[in-house]
Amino acid sequence: MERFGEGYLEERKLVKRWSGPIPALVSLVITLAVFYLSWWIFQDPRGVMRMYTPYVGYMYCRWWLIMMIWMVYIFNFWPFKRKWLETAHPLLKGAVLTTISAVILVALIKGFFEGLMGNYGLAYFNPDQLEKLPGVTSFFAIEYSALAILMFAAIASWLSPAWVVAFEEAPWQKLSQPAKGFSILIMTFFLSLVVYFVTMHPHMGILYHPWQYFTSIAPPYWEQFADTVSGNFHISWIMCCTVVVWLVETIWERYPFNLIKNDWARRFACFFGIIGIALAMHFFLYFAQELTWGEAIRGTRRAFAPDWRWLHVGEMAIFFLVPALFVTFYCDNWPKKYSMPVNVLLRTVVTLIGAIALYIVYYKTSHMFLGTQKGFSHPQQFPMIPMIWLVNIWLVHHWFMDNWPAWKMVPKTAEEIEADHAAKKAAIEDVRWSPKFGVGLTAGVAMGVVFYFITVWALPAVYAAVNIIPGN
Amino acid sequence: MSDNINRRDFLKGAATGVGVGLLGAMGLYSYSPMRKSHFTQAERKMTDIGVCKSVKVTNISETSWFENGVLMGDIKGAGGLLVNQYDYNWPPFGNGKGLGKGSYEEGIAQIKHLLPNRLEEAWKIIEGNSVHPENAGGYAALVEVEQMDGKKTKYLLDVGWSYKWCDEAFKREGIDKMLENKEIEALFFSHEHFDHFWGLPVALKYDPEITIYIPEGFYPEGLQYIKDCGHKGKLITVKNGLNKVIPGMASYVFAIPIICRVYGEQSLYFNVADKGLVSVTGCCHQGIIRFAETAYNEIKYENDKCYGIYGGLHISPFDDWDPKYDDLVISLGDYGFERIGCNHCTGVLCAKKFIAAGYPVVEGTAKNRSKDKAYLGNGDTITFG
Amino acid sequence: MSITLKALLPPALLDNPKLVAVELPRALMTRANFIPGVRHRLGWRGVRDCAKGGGGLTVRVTGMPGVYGVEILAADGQKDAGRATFGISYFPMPDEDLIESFSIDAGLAAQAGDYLERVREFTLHPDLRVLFHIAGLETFFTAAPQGVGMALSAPEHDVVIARDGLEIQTPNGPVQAVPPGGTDQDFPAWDTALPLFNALAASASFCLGDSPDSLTSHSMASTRRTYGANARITSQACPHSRTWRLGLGWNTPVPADPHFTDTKDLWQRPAPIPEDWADALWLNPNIQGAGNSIDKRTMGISDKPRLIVLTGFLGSGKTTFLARFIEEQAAKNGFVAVIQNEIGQKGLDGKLMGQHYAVTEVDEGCVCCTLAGSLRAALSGILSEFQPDFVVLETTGLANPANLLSEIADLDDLLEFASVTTVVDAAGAARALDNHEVARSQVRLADVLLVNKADLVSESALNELETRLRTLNTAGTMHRVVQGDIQAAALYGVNFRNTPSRPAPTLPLMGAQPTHMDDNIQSSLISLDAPVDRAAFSQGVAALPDKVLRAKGIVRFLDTDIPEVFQFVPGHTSLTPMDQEPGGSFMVIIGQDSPQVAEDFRSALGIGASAS
Repeated sequence: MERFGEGYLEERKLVKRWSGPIPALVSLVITLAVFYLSWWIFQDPRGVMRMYTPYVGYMYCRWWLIMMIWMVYIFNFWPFKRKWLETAHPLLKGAVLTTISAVILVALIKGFFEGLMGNYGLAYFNPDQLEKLPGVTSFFAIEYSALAILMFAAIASWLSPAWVVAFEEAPWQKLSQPAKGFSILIMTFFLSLVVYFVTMHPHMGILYHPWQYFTSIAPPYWEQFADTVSGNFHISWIMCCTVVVWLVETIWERYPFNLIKNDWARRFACFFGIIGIALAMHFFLYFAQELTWGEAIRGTRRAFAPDWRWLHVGEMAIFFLVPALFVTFYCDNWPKKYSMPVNVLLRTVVTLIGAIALYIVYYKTSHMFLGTQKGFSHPQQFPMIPMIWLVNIWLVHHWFMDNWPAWKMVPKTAEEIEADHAAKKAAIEDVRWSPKFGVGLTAGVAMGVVFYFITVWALPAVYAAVNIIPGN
Repeated sequence: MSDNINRRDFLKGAATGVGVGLLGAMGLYSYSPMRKSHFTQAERKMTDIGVCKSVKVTNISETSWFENGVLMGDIKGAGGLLVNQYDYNWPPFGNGKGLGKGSYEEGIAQIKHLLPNRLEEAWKIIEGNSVHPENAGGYAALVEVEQMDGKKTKYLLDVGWSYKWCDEAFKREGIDKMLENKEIEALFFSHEHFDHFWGLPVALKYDPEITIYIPEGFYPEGLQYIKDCGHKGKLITVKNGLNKVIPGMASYVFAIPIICRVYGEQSLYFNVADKGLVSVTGCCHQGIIRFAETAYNEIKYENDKCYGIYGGLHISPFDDWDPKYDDLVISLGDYGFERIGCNHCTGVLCAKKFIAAGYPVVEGTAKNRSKDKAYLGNGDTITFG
Repeated sequence: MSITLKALLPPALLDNPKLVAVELPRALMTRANFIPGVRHRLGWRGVRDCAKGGGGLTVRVTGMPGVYGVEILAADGQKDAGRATFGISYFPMPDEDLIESFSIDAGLAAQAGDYLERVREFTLHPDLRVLFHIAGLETFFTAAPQGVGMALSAPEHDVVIARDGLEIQTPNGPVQAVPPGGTDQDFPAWDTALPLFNALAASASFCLGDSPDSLTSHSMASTRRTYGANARITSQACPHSRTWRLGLGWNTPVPADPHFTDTKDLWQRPAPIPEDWADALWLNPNIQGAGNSIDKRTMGISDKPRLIVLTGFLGSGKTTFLARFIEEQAAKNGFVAVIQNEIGQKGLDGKLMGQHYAVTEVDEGCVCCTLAGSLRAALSGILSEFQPDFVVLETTGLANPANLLSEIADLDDLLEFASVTTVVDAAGAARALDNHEVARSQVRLADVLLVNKADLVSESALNELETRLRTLNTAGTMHRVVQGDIQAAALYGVNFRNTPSRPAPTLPLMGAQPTHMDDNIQSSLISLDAPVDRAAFSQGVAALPDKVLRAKGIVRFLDTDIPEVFQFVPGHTSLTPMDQEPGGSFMVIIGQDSPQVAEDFRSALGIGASAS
């Protein structure tokens, strides 16, 4: 039976061509070069296609990410045969698969959203339909519809991988492709639709007056709690979910949920655990902004507006994703030598430091070369776009091209695969309850809480000392 | 060996625990009301003015004059907007010499002996001596503050202009009886302008002992007029800045030059329990944005929310280096008012734009010579809280 | 001499000299800006309070595209004298040439997207103030005798040297913007600050009712600043630049400043003013026509000005009529804005690029502007600058008003449409009507027809012309005039709210058809003898086809006793209650195939075909 790409990512052995950190650095340089070239071609407001309006660029960026998740995680490279995956040259594979992802991407946005949904369903998916409204200019029509479509993408980019990572493809894990792929696709798409309608549709409704024309609930139910009517409140936690799904999948190796023996208990715990962790991030990052910039004032604009603050939570979250993926893709999930919890903690610390450094560097310098604008809250400053664009390039590189040229792909032998499974099992077995573990856990919780309050206490002074953007 | 295992177990537990503790604290504490204790309010004074239960405003009159064209003609004819308001020869200070040739002394000499009790006779003389007496209207409002214990206190904000029109309006709303029964605690003047201030005898006719609050910056004629109208009560000059009145009510004086040689404006702030800040203004010459920002920087109010506004929202005349008058409409939305009752010098067009922008404008009934339903017109009321 | 400070600040404030010095600039600017005519003459183009920072002002001044910021720096005073110093910044527009003279950092700051937004609240942004500070302003006040002084100090060249040079990051890699030891900034501070000072001084003369009586000049060698990466900013003497301090005193001389080595008393009344200052604006406290334009917004008045569209074929006498009209309005304290739509005319020099209108003339009763951009943008600018009572849109003789009507319909939030007035040359009209569709169209769409130069042709020719005009336009009112001389009230009614009058029934002339054949525009009358249902009427109006150019009339509705005036141009309908008793109820439709349209409308209202 043809397995297509099922298990392909676990069952390939990536062999460094050089020792030490050189492959990682070489890959970083190459991917950054490709990033900058493609950024100039597609996104840069001074470049060729100038999609960074910013929403149009963001929409394509976000959906492209999902296309790749669909192809690799949900459809396991179907319809490409395993043999081809293992033998074709990485450049050829990259070119073919990337082209396919782009074709589906355009078909989905132009055909499904703008064509079908926009013309026969919800007017705001299609800029031409939007423009028929009084007072909507062409520019805003395009921006609004891009916003609506990308909101859908934001939700899908959390739910699609979450079904694989948390629900472990259940209940269709036994099906062969493409039946499995279509099942998961339809399920996640349906869930995305539901979440979209209860989180984002009211936001789109608010853009128009009177709101009731668009039969959305207005003002929306989250207004009092979130201090804003904007859907950015949801963008924020959904972005956090997207990031946490990948953290759980990559640097955390699904720890601690993998300790749970019962299948369904583990799956539900993981799925809702991801949401729980995301909400914690969501609230903390909002609090961090309040601590450094002062309380949000509803009704003001930009940096002090709650809606922008929520958006910025999502923007900050995305800065965690980049170093986490780098650690997994190019550093082979370093470190691996301690017990799983300690490994996870160390990687998390590294990711955290990387995220903060990236944040500072990005805001200090990005406007000099990306064509974005200086300032945190400038409408033309959308860090999610370049970050996700870079992540997209890495996914192409890591999933489609086996980290070529710094690594070489060798399929693992049956023994190696077996050994891998055993090691994984052992690592999980290694973490088990004991009195000392309990003591450690209690001490750790206390330390975590203390660390939290120290952070909260020190943050304003530390932020003031760094002064990322003078004058802000 | 077992020590080693123990240590490893402890580390595993601790590593897990740090994550659990940190994430738990992040999730539970970061967005809880407890977080508020971390915010420094260095920039905001947050002066506590107390709270009140509700504020009810009755619009006694918002029609300062009935024909814009007539008033503009008078102002132009007399020499423009910088002319001293006492020199126009408008009622009640007519001296019979014609437009722009008036003076306070000559005008008041004609009627001083009739103030404040014989206003019909006074108005007859005024009609004979003044320019366009029929065009005069006035701005006046009754503010009723309900304390948390249910006690109600009444204040007047301004007293209008024309004796005749204001007396009618006072009687229509029953203000005359309230004054006679000493129900009204005090009279606040927003500024010295003719349409807010010159109807003073009408109030003093019914209650000459009423306490009067004026903003700093009154001219000698204005101060003299208060005496000449037969005021026997306390006169309090409010210095620039915040001045507490009763729990939940304060006034704020802005030092700004206004047309017709007037200086300084006093506006009222109320802190309504569970709702937020309510502002009552005469003309708001300082501009609604500065007004709201001042409240934000100076006062502590419920829910940290600007809840309502009543009065004239002067379309700022200094806002024209970018002639987008819509700016004001948009930025007013920034303050999230939940109830807006606007009239007087707001501009009907502006009020209509507020409505078009979806702001919660409380519409009026357009009766008693108020021109448009977009305005909270003469005789209409609005309640906050 | 005596100056009148009383009108500027209240006595209570005058008792505190320090406060007077602090409040003086704001009071002068605010007061001078109440009156558009004065504002315009003194050189102000708008003053705005910083809402949030407190105490700052942003100002625009004629001739300078950018925005000035004025903010208080320090003040002190005793019992009898007060003094305050202010910082003046100049924030150039992002595309202004002057920006090149500022430092590189200032240039970068001005290119940021939120630059103008930050400028509005510049007091909140110390970085902006550091980059764009150009001059200092001092104000003085003496209590006895009352006197006021103002001094401006600024260097001719404000030079900043970058000791280590300056490298900026561009998309093409780093670029050495300033070589080491090179000049980062060389700003003509004095020349830039002077227009603001002149406007302020002129406002002082105007508000105080007297011109200054002393002029002093102080100067010293300028310094230039040098900064480096790891060094503090240092100052050295700057060759070829002096720092000037110009003082003007009203009843009190500006005191000397020990820093300025070189002091000259340039002038003291009653000596004749030096040549250099002979045409300074501040020499004359009297502004012509100060009473003739009033900023209605300061009164909280939102009256919309009335709009008259003035058309007429070449040489028919539009300009003569307009001159008379303005004269008459000025006599009644009215203020007229005339907008000439001279698109494609020469004489719009490069200065006008990017602007929507140019003011060609301002006098007692009117302002004349030339349209250069979009009508809407020009109008909102003109209305906010002058608050006219009337706007006359003067079209060129060759313009077809039909093209304007729909555009005008969109302006109803700015203006109240009063009338299309067409001037017809009694002598030359016949030929124009024969040969030019535009001329016919101008007549068809008129609400008011003025047969001008009626003294030049015979009575019979006039009658013939009027009959012909009537076939084209049954609904408009017609007047014979000489030299465009007619009372506005006769044309437009009281308060310019003339109600349409019921057209006289005219017999279709034999052979008159060809005049309609060109594009088949006719007018048709619908009599509305009985009150109609409001909903049916609105539906009928909504169903009017695109070929209707204009419709108007008087309608009685079932739900109210007051008849309403109905006006329609494509895309826009208005119904306003009448304040006088009308002659009758009717409706006129002008457009292609209007008889058919009228028929449809009748059936929409449910009234039979009555004799029209």
